[in-house]
Amino acid sequence: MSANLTLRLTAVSHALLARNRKVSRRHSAWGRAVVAAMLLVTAAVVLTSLIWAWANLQMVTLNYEISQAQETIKQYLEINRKLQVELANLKSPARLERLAEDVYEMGAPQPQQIIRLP
Amino acid sequence: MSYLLHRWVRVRIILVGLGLGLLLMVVGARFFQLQVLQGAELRRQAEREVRKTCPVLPVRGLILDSRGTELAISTRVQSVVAHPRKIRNAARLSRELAPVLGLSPAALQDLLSSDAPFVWVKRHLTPEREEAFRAWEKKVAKSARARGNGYQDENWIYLLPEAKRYYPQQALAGHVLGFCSIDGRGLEGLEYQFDRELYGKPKRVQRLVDARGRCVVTEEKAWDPEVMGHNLVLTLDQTIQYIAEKELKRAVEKWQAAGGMALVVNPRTGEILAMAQVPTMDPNCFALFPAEVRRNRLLTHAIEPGSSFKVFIAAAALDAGVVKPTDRFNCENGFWQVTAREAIHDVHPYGILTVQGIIQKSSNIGAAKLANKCGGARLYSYLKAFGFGSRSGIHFPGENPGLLKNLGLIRSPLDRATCAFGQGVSVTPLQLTMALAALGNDGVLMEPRLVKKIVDARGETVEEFPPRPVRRVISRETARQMLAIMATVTRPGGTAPGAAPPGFTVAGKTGTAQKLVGGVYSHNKFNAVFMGLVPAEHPVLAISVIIDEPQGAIYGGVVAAPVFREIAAQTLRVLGYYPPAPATPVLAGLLSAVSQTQAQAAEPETGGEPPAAAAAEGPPTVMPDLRGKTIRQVLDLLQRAGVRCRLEGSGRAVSQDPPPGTPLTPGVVCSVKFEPGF
Repeated sequence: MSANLTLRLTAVSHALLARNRKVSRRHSAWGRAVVAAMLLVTAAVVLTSLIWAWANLQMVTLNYEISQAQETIKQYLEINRKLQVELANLKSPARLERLAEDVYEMGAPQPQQIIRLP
Repeated sequence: MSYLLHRWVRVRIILVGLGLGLLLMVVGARFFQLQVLQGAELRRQAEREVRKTCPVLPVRGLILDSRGTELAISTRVQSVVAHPRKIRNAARLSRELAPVLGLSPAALQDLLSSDAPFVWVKRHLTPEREEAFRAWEKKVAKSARARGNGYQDENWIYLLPEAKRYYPQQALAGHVLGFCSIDGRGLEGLEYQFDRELYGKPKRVQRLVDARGRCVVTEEKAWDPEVMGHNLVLTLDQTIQYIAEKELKRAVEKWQAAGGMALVVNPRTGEILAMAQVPTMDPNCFALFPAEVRRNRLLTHAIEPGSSFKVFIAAAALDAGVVKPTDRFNCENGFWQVTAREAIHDVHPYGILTVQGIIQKSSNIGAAKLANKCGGARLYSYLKAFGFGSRSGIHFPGENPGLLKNLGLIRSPLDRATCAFGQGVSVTPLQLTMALAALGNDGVLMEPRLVKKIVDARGETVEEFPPRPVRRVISRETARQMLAIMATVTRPGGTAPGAAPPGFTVAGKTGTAQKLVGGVYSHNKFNAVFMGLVPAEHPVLAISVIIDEPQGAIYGGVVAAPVFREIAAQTLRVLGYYPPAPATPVLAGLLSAVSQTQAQAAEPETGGEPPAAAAAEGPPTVMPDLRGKTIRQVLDLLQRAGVRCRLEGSGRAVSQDPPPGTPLTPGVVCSVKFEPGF
């Protein structure tokens, strides 16, 4: 009886307490390959997702930049048009004549002042 | 125990697996629901929220003069718009915004409290107002961020870009250009006539926006030729237009006239170089001018041409061969009883006059006899061929055809007689000038051209309006005869001896037309007319000037002819026509220069003018010394010497090539370098 009890306790202690049991397992080569493949696929998916997300982010950023650049171009074109108006104003014959007469004391040439070049 | 433990672990694993599987199934089911069952609808919803279709405002094309100067240009301005239905507290918003926009708070509140879904609060803001509004927007956005408030009334009042038409030359050619409505559609003048071409094509573009409504990507191009209107290139020359308007205004002020009109045309091509009228209209603020002033009266108003019409009567009679320039007519000493009860008069009494004399002295009786000799029907056909009584076909709205009775059907001899000196017939200044131009174009009437071509935004020609001869009215010989006859008008003894600009000859005709007031010829309201071709031998300009109701003097030769002279003189200079040079010996300058060189060589200290006798010493053989001379002196010297020159710099000559003393060879080019402060 006691011997049986001892035997059973020993078995329990083996099962619960002995953590350094020498257990030998047979590892399947196929299983490792599957795990490796899965890891590889997971890494590839993650990587692809990251690249895809990065590309999308880049696309959105570039689109923002393009929109801003277009807006800047539009503003420059608009400034250009306003400067054209200003230039036309400044080049108006009335203003130039007034400047020539009042500021520079110029006048239309007399016929004898006109020199024809050969 | 071990078995139990293993079993529990397994159960847990299974439970976790089941949980994960269930989760996966839920995710899968949701995926299926979103992507397959509701996929299409959700995609449409996303499209609606992200993809916005926005209108692209067309950019109205430019109007350019013949040299490419902008006469009308559109720029973008901002307008303030609002959605009143979305605004909750209009009173507060009005109080804040009224001073910013320069509106009264009450009016703004009324506007923002209205039931309209969309209102224009203020259109075409000035740059200052726009800046003030943007500053207000920034201030509002900052305070909203600080409060963390999402919804704001301020979001529903914002700036919207619009195009605004500017006329940088202000009133210059304003009546020709016309003007546009606030929506950018042509209302008058060329703006109206070519509205379809100028307006451009509005289009809609797709725009992707983010959650904040900011534009992520748009189809709209910064410079899009598709939405831009075509540009109009006119035959008008800005400088000549200015000259015509300036001189006309001066004359109108001088004679305290009601107004005036002037037209400058190239007789060879029919191109209108200037089309001036006083009072003028600034299309930038067209609403300030009455409708009468806004109209282009050179086309829309028909006037009686007075004596200026006589040249066409004479041309018809000469071309028909019924008279010769030397034929003599009895001018009845200024009084001719046409019928038992009706007579016509001359201002001054004349006896016998030739055809040339009739035109030179402007005899009404002589002209009436010419018309009689020509015959009513034949005269009518000639006058119709000159373009009177019908529209010229110019590309401009509202052209008046004038009035020309069928002289072949008129029974009254008085009516036929008065038509000969421009009464009972009405013509537009354009018709008068084009008919005059036909005389200067060897008898061929040209179609008047105001628009040279239409080009697109890329500068490519869309449509061209080349010179188009309408018909031959009179023979070349008759036209030449008429020019010779009309040239006597501006010589001493003619009615406008002061009409010719210095150095040029003018073939012209004066006219003093009584105005019809209430169906009766007025005795104190006249149109003073002068029209002329310059130079008389080979006309390059046909100009007509009409001064409306001058005070103090009424005659075309006194009032209108000086305006013609000034316009002609300045326009010829602008176009590069100068009076013929005086006949100076070609080598005279060089002779004196050589003498000067020799004199300087002999007496370097004196530096005086060469003796006049030195010019007779013989032909020059060497290049003169130009050093120390001004550009004017060098040009004068080389021009008279017949040596071509190339000038560089400004100031006084410091070096020359060939050097002084080099033997002159035919075709030699002299390079002269100038420096200031020498």
